Amino acid sequence: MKRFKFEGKAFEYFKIWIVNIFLTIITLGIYYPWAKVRNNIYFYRNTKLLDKNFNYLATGKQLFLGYLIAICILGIYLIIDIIIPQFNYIFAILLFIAIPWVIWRSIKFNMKVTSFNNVRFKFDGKLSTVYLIYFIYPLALFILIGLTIAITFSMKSLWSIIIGVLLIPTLLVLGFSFLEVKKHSYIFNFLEYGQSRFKIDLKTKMFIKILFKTLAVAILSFIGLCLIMFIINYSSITQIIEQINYMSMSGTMDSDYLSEILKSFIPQLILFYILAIIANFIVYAYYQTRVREYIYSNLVLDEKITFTSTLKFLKLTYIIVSNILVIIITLGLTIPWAKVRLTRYMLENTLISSNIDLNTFLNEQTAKESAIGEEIGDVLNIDAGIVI
Amino acid sequence: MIEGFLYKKNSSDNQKAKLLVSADIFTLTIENQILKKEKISSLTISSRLANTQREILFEDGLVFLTNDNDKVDKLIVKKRSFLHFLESNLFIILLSIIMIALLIFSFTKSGIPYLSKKLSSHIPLKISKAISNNSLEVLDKYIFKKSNLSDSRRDEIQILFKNKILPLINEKRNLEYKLSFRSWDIDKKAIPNALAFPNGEIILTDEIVKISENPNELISIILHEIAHVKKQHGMQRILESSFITIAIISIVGDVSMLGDLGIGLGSLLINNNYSRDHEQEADIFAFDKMLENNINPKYFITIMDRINKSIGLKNENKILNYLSSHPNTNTRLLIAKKYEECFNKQLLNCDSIISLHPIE
Repeated sequence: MKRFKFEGKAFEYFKIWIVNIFLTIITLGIYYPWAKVRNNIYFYRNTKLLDKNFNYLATGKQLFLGYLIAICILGIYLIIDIIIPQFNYIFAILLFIAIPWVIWRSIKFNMKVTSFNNVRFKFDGKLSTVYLIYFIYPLALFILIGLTIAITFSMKSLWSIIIGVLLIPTLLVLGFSFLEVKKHSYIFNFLEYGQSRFKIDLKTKMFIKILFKTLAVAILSFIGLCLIMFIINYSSITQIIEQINYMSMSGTMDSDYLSEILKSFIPQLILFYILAIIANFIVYAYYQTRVREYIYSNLVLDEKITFTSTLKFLKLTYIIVSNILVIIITLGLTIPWAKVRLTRYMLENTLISSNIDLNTFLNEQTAKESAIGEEIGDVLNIDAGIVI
Repeated sequence: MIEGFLYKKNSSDNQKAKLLVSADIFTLTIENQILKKEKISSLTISSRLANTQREILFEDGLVFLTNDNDKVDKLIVKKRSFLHFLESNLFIILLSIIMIALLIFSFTKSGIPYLSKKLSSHIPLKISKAISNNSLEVLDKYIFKKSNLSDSRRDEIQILFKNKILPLINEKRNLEYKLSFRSWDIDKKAIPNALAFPNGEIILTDEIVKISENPNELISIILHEIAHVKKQHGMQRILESSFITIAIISIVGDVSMLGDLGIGLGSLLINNNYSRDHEQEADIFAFDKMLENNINPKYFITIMDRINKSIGLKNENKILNYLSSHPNTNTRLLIAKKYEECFNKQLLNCDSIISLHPIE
């Protein structure tokens, strides 16, 4: 069993990060692709396994064109949104049609520019599969849910509405789990490292299980949230209700006084907001932990190397929530520290194991030379920031 | 001598190796066996980033990976990389923190409003009109209802608008000001409010008409709304929020979910703050016009007072003030009082007021 290691240091990264932002600002954003490359290089090169590191091989120039196109699309979107909001949906439809292609290019590109121990990764998934996963299936799910609503609610009998109300969440859970399985399987099953292939065998059933557990966690954290708010405010709430009762009975309802009361609730509202954010990240951390655990436990490289995720849900929640609080308090200056901290925790809880000698395996990989035809199509490099 | 690992092209097969440099010739050795002896100029070296492993590429595709960055810089590259120089100089780091803070502050405080102001006057009227028609349509569909005011009351105000207000406005653009009435309820409570759209459409709610006790009060409110149109505040707000969105996306686009939260909140606060300046500008426009035409500015105070009472706002405290889009009532009152004094002294303008522009 070997652990991944992350050797990045908060202050070291801070210096790179701040220079990146500074140069991006004074070049009015033009430097951004180069900043992104430097940023990625720092994280990739500091990620190690058996003393060998990853590397990020894209150049700023390669990212620049994709970045330019993204900016133009954003600009066009904003202009359309302002001038003719009615046409927004046409733009949205066009975007929906284009997005699977962008995702496909982006995965391909990102894998190609990632290397470990001088060998690049390679992704050879088909474009048609992406369209199935990111266009056809979601569309089918959308239509199915629409039909369910239309049919069950138009019958106007209580029973059909009850069936509809039960059927829609079921469809959502099923559809979501199915899509998640397809997405993750697609990325890993067509991924190559050197002459070795990744393989993954995911079951929709397991994702449904994870989803239900996540739902339970969500309900529990919501109850906890309400309980905390109730305990803190119990005395003041009863007091106010009495006051209002008294005023309305004696007919001395004073709007000024009422607004004073409401204002006294502002600290509580802020507290509620913060607690709601924490609850939200508890749920997020739980889902992430479980999904990662399940995916890694099913991932195999070259039929003999396996992976394990040992993330702990509470620890991850603690890291994310404390990161956010510290970032807010320091007005964003600790973003680098938070990123390094989170990355280190994630990587150091990723294990790799095999019954053969890993060292030998990792030092005998060779990437196939890519055909020339592929290179020509690579002029347009897109990095949509797909995170695995 | 630089120590590292020598890799074959596209392969993870590697061996410990050493790179010796003398003048402009390097020697590559493995276990004291000389493998290569060539000119330094034939090498391609990846740029330095902190102390991460760097690759030196030979012409035939072999790769030499090393962590000995200082020696690589000293012996082979010979000049320090500019970016690495920036990233390792503490003075520059400190300077960029200060510069970034200053730039962000001045850009949001003055840059964005300035740009939006400049740009808004270049945006074709056609666009403003399109936006207005659209938003009014949406409001009519979901929020407003038909006015319940009597025809005579409405005509009365329309005549006031045509005869007393329109002549005061010196609009150079091809724009026609129109006044119309709607009723607006929230939870069965009628809302006293007035709205202006960039195409010159001014809306008064039934409640604001009912609440007013003097025609001059309505004049002051309508003048305030017209100022928003005349000074193109609506367009400026749209531009401002677009600028902020673009700036945030392009600067911190990849901070991921951690940063987005704080930034999102920040932009909300900034965004609201702009329109407070607009409100004040509109107030002052209305006061100026009233003064010029011998209408006491106090009428603005009396009706605003009644509006605030009716929606339950008074003595806004600090937090609320920062979140609300209307200027602090006190600041507003102060300016109005000043104008009232000018009116009582029968002055025709009241320029001293500019110094009252709010300082938080």
